[in-house]
Amino acid sequence: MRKNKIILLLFILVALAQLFIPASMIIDRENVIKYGNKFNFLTEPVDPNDPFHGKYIDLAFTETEFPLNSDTSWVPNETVFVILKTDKDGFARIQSVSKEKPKNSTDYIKAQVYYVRADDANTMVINYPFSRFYMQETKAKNAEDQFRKAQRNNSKSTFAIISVLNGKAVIIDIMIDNVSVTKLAKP
Amino acid sequence: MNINKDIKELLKAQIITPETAADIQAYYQSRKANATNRLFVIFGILGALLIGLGIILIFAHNWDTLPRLFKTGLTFLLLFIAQLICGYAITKKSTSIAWRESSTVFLFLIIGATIALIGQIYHLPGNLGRFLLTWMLLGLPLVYLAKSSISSILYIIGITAYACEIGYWMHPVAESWLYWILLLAIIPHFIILIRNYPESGFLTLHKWLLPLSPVITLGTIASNNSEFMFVAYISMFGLYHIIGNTLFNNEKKAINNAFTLTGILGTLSLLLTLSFDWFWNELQKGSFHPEYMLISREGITAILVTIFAIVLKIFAASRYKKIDLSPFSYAFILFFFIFLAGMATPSAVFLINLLLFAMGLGGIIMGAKNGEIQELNLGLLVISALIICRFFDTEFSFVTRGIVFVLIGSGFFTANYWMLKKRKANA
Repeated sequence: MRKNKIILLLFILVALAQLFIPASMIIDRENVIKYGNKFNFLTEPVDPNDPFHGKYIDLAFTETEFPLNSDTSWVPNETVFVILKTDKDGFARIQSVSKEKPKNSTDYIKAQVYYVRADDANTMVINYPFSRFYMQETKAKNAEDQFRKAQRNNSKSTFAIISVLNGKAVIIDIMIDNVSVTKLAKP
Repeated sequence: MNINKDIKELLKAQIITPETAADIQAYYQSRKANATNRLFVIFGILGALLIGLGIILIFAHNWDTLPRLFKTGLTFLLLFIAQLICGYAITKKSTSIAWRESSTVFLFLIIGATIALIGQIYHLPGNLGRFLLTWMLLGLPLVYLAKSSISSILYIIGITAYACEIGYWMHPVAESWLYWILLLAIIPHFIILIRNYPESGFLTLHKWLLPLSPVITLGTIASNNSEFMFVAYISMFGLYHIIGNTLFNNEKKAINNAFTLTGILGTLSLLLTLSFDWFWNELQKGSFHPEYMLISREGITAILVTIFAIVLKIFAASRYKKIDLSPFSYAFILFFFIFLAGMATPSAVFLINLLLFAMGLGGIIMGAKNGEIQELNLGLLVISALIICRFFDTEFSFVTRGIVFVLIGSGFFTANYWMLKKRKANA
């Protein structure tokens, strides 16, 4: 009987851990969505043959490069804090990059250095911690077509709304000319 | 059942007493109950697997008309229900294998589903390695608390996939040292199975999965000195052979002793591959510094596995007061030195061929001496494989090859015939 009680107690602890981990994942993201500033990241066409893996859009962004010039201290896969600003058209731009957590701003993303291109400006290419937008199964095909069409059409702007707070980022929506792709796509 | 008819007949003929008849009937009754119980377990597990996977698929539809928080709430509710069912099984139905196994499998799957669905709801980038690690760590305690072997099997598969993702598939690959600790964490369950349920099918499954998982993942250690992995692998197969022959040497069916079988097949296939000279010629081309190679991570792994196998060999010999003379539990020690020699000279390939020949001959002699047909045939197999491999190296005519094959075949016949005759004479 005693042994049973101990097992039950341990099981409850394990069950709490099993609830806690997903809960903390959710709370983390909910905080970013609730308190984070929204940035509009322009997307660029991805491999047109395969923008959909399963039921999500694979995203690529235009604002992924930053000229380092004389700074040669960066290596691939290193953690980089990307500090953001919004340009006059309302799209996200990289203001600066840093190895340390920025102290006087919450508008930064903890990302990874993809590689540093050996060109005149010594350009850093950044790997953001978001690249997928999951869609409802029945709408996926239609969304893909719309997304592709809009990417080909230069007059239409496609961008992702991303909530950013203290290094963390969550994709909120994908917009084609200011309309959500989930509303545009028909099941 | 026919057996009742037979019993009546035997009773009538006064071959068995009424007590014996009752015993026989009771025995068959209990066997029948066991069989239904087993079916119940299998269907319970299958049912739980299907329901769990079905729920995952329904959620994966990603209903975008549902509000985000509703979806997360639903995922949580499902996890909570799965926990309640599992908790009930552990406390109230702990004697029923069907209850314990199926409810734990269901919870195990739902944990994975919950993490995956949160990833989908919040559009997290796919990080398979981290996902598998979180899932397996949250699932591991269930193996012990619910004494669930199917969860243990899912866990072994999961950590193997984790090691592969981290060490082979991901770009760039990373260290997967953690895998070895995760693997160690399941060993106590394996020991419990050996001690308490030596006849169970779950144990047989574990006996296969446990040696196979490291065969798949050991290669993740390789980086710049991957040649050294041959030493590590051969020592690991030697270790398997020693484990199989000491822990499971009274196994009735050879197919159930996966450690010994994997050990033999692994050692044999690697040694045969290395009996060709291309590997040793390549080894010469590389500019190796033996001192450096020995302290590289492949070198250290190889040395550690070899030492571990030798220690186990000595321990087994002193504990069981009997030395296992099978060539497969020695080959790895000799190979270690042959490999060291191979870094200096390509003629090490002769030593490998000599080793294989000695292993084959040793098997034949020991098999003949102990009257073990299996051992004898294994020895013959080693020598035949060696001869066949050498045939690919050289330009012999078809006639010569034909004659040699006929001779090998006749050798098999003669040896087995002689052995059977000897057995009959002894019987």
